[in-house]
Amino acid sequence: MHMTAPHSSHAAEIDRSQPAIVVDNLRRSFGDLRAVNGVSFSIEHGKVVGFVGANGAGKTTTMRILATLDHPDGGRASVGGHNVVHYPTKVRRLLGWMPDAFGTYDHMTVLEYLDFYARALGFKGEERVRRIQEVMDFTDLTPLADRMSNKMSKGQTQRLCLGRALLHDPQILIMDEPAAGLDPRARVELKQLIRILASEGKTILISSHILSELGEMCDSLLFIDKGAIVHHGDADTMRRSGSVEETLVTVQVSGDPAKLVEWVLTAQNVKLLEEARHGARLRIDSNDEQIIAGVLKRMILDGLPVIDFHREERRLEDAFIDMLGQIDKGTLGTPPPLPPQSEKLSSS
Amino acid sequence: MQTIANTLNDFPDALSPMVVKELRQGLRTRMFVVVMLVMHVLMVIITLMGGGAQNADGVTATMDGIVTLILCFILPMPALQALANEIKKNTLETLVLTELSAGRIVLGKWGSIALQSLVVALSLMPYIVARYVFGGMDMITELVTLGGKWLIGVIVAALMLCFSTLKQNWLRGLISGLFGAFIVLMGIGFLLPRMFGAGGASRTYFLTTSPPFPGSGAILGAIFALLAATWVIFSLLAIAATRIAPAATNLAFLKRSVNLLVFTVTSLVILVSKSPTTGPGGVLGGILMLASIDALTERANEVPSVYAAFYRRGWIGRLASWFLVPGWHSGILFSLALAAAACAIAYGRSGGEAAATVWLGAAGIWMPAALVQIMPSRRASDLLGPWIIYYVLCNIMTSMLAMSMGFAASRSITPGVSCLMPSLVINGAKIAQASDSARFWHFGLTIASAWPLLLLIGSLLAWRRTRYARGEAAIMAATPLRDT
Repeated sequence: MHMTAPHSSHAAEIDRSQPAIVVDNLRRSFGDLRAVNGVSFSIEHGKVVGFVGANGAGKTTTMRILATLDHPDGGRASVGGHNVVHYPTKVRRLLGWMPDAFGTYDHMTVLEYLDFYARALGFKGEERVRRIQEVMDFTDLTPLADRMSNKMSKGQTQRLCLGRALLHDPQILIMDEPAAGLDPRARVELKQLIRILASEGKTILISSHILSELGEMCDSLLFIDKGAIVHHGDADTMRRSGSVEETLVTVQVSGDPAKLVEWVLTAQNVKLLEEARHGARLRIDSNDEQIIAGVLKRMILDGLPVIDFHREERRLEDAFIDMLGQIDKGTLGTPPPLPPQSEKLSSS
Repeated sequence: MQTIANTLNDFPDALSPMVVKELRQGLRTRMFVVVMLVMHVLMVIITLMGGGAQNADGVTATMDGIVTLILCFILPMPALQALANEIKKNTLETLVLTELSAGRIVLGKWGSIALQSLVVALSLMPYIVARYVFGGMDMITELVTLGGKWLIGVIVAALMLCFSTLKQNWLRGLISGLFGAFIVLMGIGFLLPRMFGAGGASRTYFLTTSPPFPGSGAILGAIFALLAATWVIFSLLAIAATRIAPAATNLAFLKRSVNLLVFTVTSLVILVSKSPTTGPGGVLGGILMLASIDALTERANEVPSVYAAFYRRGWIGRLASWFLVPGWHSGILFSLALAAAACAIAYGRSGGEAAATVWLGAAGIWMPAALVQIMPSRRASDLLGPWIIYYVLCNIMTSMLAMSMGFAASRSITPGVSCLMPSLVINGAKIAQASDSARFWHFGLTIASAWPLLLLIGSLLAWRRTRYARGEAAIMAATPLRDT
């Protein structure tokens, strides 16, 4: 596998004076169902953004509109500075699209499959051959060149899909559930390819149900529910977000853990969750770092032989479920403006 | 790299990517290989066994049967699954995102079938030459017949490609079943008598009787047949392309403009030609019917940019949008305008009965279209499927009515009930008592006219539903084009 993404002279011009993707009050209904109901966000060039939401939340519809495969009932969307409704052809040249369900052809090898799409994208002669070779090297498909495209594993098929999406060297990639149904190894391989693409400055909007993976890969996350964006921010902010004012800690002590349990019974703001072999899991009724440090200090001052004090990181899945609960109760406020994008992955 | 280059340069860059793809796939399918082998084995056997002039008719009919079956049925039939498979496997969307338009996708699929058929047809040349050498056959007739069969085959392929966009599997299955039954019946009715020496019409008869030049000679007939076939193929492929194109695409403008051009040119030819007065209504009626089916089975488009393209051209554009914007709501206006013109020309050339026949023929298309809009099927994303179902039901009802009333058996009853079905009015009028005939025509025409009226009322509601899109379009048209 080549560790750099292939580049093509066919790559379309992109207007970098505007964000890579802008969505403004986008609306789309199917009969009485409002699939997308006033979605707004923008994504800067070179950023990797995760798109998170339950099934039917409006992710795929939004992505399909951006990919010019569907049309909005209202609002505006632009990709690379081009309105997706007015200039679909320009948008398609800038965009690589990976759908959630990807089909291959009967009686066609991997090489012929990529050749067909290269021809369809306007590549000719030696440039076509070179481009196909580059993409196959990048996605590690060269050993599978003569394999029938409909006789491959799910992971290989996803790599083929990615290869097809990269043929015209798009600056913006939209990937709908690319890791769905992949085994762990294929998932790691796909993640690696996405990281390389991100490091080379491609803008990627990626949806997935596996939030922990999105947290690792993405500069920021967009949360959509019932057709509207309910939160956006980076994964760390997300983990700390919401009204959950508690911290889970795992404490290990030297000797008898019963001393720790006795101490918890007398301590303020600390509750026992469960006893463990060498200690216990505790809940501190605050996420204020001063208070957490104070709890540890009191333990030591009270003579507890603490050998490990570990704050458990809140999982993104828990944060997401908490957020949905708050939405149901109506206690979640308006989402904050999209924060400045970190350089986490662009520089890695 | 060199090995890859050798593999990938098997087809030149100039060839359409879709044709390359379809040929690569198509030539590898078991069906093509089996068809070629079986056909050639049979041809060798028949040519060797039936050589000589003494049994030329039987050999010709047997070969006709085999070639017709292959070129007109077996080779075009896979087209019925061509686009359905793309839709089912979710590959159509990735195609649409390339430089290929919906039209090029459809044309490529059809082109590969046409090329495969041509390969098969050309591979038959040695047998024709061999039989010419043996004697007892006319080379030109054989070649024209073979060309005619290829032409029919590619028209059938275009029709099947059009049907392959239908979402209902059972409907596609039904169509292939009906088509198979038609081929069997055709074989029994036309080929078998010839095989057993019962004779039949000349195989190039259709060229000398092709309207609107009946009796004007084979060359003009061949030109007309080719032009008509080209237009039919264009229309069918354009319908298929519309059905797979993104919603923001306006193919209706091209389709209806071409249909209008064909209609106008044919009308002019009819008006200046010295042809008999029986043909014009039928020719214009045929154009009107295909154009109307296309126009009335498109969903009303609600994409602002589609309307904006018209609105940017001022009042002329706005006027044109009433007839040319994609959707059945403008389609009924287009269809009515063509029908009115066709009736006027038929009336001018052949009289009132011919004009009434054209109107009733059009009503036969409007009736199922109106039923689609009256029934819950109006909410379906696909209007062609329901239209075909209602059209078939209407024809079944027509046949049952015709049989139950014993049209052919009794001329003493004026069959008033037949006025309910537009296609029965003509037959009903023929067997009506002379005193009732005029009243019968009026009654039948009045009832037939109810269907376009219903469609017009429905189209007003459809135009109303597009109000938001038209409002947005007016704003877009008023502001200069910009990227975001």
